[in-house]
Amino acid sequence: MQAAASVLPWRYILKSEAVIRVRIRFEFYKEEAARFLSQLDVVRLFERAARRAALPIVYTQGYNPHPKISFGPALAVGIAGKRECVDWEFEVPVDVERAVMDLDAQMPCGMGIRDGKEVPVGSPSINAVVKRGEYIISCRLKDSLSPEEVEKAAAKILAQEEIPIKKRTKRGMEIKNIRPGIYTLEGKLNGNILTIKALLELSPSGSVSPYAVLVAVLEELGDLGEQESLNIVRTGIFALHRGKLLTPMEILALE
Amino acid sequence: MLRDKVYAVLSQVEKPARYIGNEWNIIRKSWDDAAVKMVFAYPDTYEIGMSHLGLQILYGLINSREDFLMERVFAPWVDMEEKMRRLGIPLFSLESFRPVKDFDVVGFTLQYELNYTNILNMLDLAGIPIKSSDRGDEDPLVVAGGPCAFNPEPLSSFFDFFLIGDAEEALLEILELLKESKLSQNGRLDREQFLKKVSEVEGVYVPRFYSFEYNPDGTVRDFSSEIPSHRVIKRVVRNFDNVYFPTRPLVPITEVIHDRMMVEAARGCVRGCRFCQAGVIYRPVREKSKDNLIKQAEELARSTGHGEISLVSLNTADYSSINDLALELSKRLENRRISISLPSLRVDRFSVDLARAVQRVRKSTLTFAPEAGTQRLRDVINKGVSEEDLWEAVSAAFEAGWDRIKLYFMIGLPTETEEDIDGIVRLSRGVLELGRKIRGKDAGRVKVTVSVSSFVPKSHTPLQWAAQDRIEVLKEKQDYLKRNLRGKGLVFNWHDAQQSFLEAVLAKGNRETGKVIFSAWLKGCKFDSWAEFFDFDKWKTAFEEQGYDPFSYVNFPWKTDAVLPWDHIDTGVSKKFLIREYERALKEIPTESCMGGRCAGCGLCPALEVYPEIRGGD
Repeated sequence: MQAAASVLPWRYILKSEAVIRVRIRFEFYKEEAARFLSQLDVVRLFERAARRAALPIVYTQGYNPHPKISFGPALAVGIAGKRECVDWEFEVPVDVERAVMDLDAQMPCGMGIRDGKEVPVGSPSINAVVKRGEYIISCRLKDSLSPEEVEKAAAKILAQEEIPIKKRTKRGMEIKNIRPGIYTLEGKLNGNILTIKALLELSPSGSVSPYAVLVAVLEELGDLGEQESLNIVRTGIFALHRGKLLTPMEILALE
Repeated sequence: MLRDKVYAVLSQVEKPARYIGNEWNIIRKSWDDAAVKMVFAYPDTYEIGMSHLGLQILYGLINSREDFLMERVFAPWVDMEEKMRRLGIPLFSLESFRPVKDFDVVGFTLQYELNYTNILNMLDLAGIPIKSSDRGDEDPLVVAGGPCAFNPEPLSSFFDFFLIGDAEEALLEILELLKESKLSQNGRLDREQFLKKVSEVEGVYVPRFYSFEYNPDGTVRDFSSEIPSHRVIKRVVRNFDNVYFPTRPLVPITEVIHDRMMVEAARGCVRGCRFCQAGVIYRPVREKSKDNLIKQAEELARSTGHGEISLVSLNTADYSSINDLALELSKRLENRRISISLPSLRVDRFSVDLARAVQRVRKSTLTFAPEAGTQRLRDVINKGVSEEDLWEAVSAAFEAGWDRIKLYFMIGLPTETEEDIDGIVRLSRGVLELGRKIRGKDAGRVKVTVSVSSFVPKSHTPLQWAAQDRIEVLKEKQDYLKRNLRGKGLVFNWHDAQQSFLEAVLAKGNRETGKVIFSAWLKGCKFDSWAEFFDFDKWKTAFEEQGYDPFSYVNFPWKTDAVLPWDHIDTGVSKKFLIREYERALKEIPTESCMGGRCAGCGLCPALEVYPEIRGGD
């Protein structure tokens, strides 16, 4: 049996070398001007940053090699992210703290690397664990309303069993009930600025869009809101662990 | 602040990253410390403008000077324009989000005739008077350069002055002059006085000092000028190996057309294709040394993080030590996963071997440009390529593992017959069959893309006097090709004939043409190079309203003794040479290229006191 190793095709030998490869999870922010970058722009930007920083990233084989990099749930263009995550494969073990610094130095204005941790072999991907997103949505109202009216509207939404939202899908317009995907919802009014804080479902099957939540609140208030003043920030993405919310970085600490 | 107003609308427009600046290597200088502030304006979208090497060169160069500042602006897409007009956001620069109107100089690059209406639209969005004569001392100087500036007349009423030829030295001289003029007048500028002074800078053309008389048929009878030397001689950078080159260029923040770093291996081309304007206006050929290019490439790799580098020139395969250069580069850049692209291949086996040596990983598409379907017509245009070259080149490509070949042809060339059109079909199908034979079991993967453009006569070329085919004739030829280039493995692309017609009218236009451009823009014409916005009916109405017959203007040959609208612009190539080349074209006689010390006698070197700089061997 032991002799078998010598007759393995070269591909397997390479694979066994791959064991020394490491996966590192970075936490980053994407704010200000950078919130207008698409997911594709961010992928390209990270790749170039890694090249400039001379980090030993792993490339895919084949026709059009690209880095082995896997992001958490994408942010819609225009939405800022405070604590987003990405997993990267490296050819060789690297000093994580150093990598965080080097990569951070290569980020454009509005983006930066907050933290990095090695991902244990066999750990699930970010997308496999993330279930919730926390958002702060703010928007100027057209009419003058009282803070009580806003608080009441938020409470009323939470008290409903169904909040039907029209959604465009591949099959055409569909009605979707977003209520089960809203876990917390607070509304505040400061002057005529409406601020909503919400914890929403964030998963491949049933993400609730912060826009949809804003629309529901505005409808409840009977106000159109000023589109130009809209500002949405995703303050965090979370996994669920024994009923507690943990960031993808905190999840790693458990293992 | 303007920036906040812009950010507020960005979530509602397509590709908002076009309007944020914020690129890696962006240069943000102190506004108040710069004595002269210029904005580089590209009259098309961010994705197209950011692929332009000239922008990177001038941006780096001007900003490298302590007392000068250069920012950028591109044509906003129609959705953004709508928001800007509605909310009163003026055209702004990407670095400091300042109104374009606040700069001292607004410099447009003229790369393509179908961008002209965008220039007017951008000036309007900036709140700058569109016509030069309507601008006052407080308005920016609106200037232009680039290849289309070699026939500046159609745009002469919109620009205060043009810079003809290489800008690296001339632009610094101009801005220096502007700085002095401003200083001597306590920061204010006497426009008329400055224009007089700047007209003395070599290569600068100030249209208001020239007047033209026209014949009844709209052609130029004569012109005169208020300034002593009425010919404007193009600028040529000598000692090209030492010319400024940006090794910390802007890295586009969103995907652009050519998303890669570039080194300029050479400027100019030794070949003398008779339709090619670039081949004339960038003469003489000037190469950079291999060592310099390698050094620049390594710096670029460090400063940009791009995964691809392109060796730019009009004809990279002609670079005198291209093999050594390419191999050395790929050796040094390979372990950094940087691939090399050669934008222009010659039609020969050598080029394929080169591509093979360089492109070890990616076997995408190889492109060849035989330009015409028969040897006779290739002799007319002086494309020194034989059919044998083509077969050899494509066999080599298929044997080396490429499945996809792209072929470029042109229709509507002078003296073209049915046989020449058939030649395109014959060659294209021949390449497909050859590919299938060579690729054997992979025959099904072989794809031949045939891209056919229409001949557009361009100023300063031997074929400038030639007629363009009528739109209907071009369409007939395209229909014929469409019918005969169908089937598995073949893809046929063609250019819109109406767009090519408009391109010719603008390329050969005179001052009268400017009135049509203005009228077309008033009717809403913009982004004419984009099929979804090109509106030929509006243009036709504009021509009619101005009493201008564009059809008789470009669909008939011009007499070689006629005064040309661009006769005052001197490329250094003699008109006598161009006439001789035109006559040889009609007689189907090829002319040798100026390679290896041979000379076709274009007159440039003695006229401008320059010489070809062949440095590749250094």
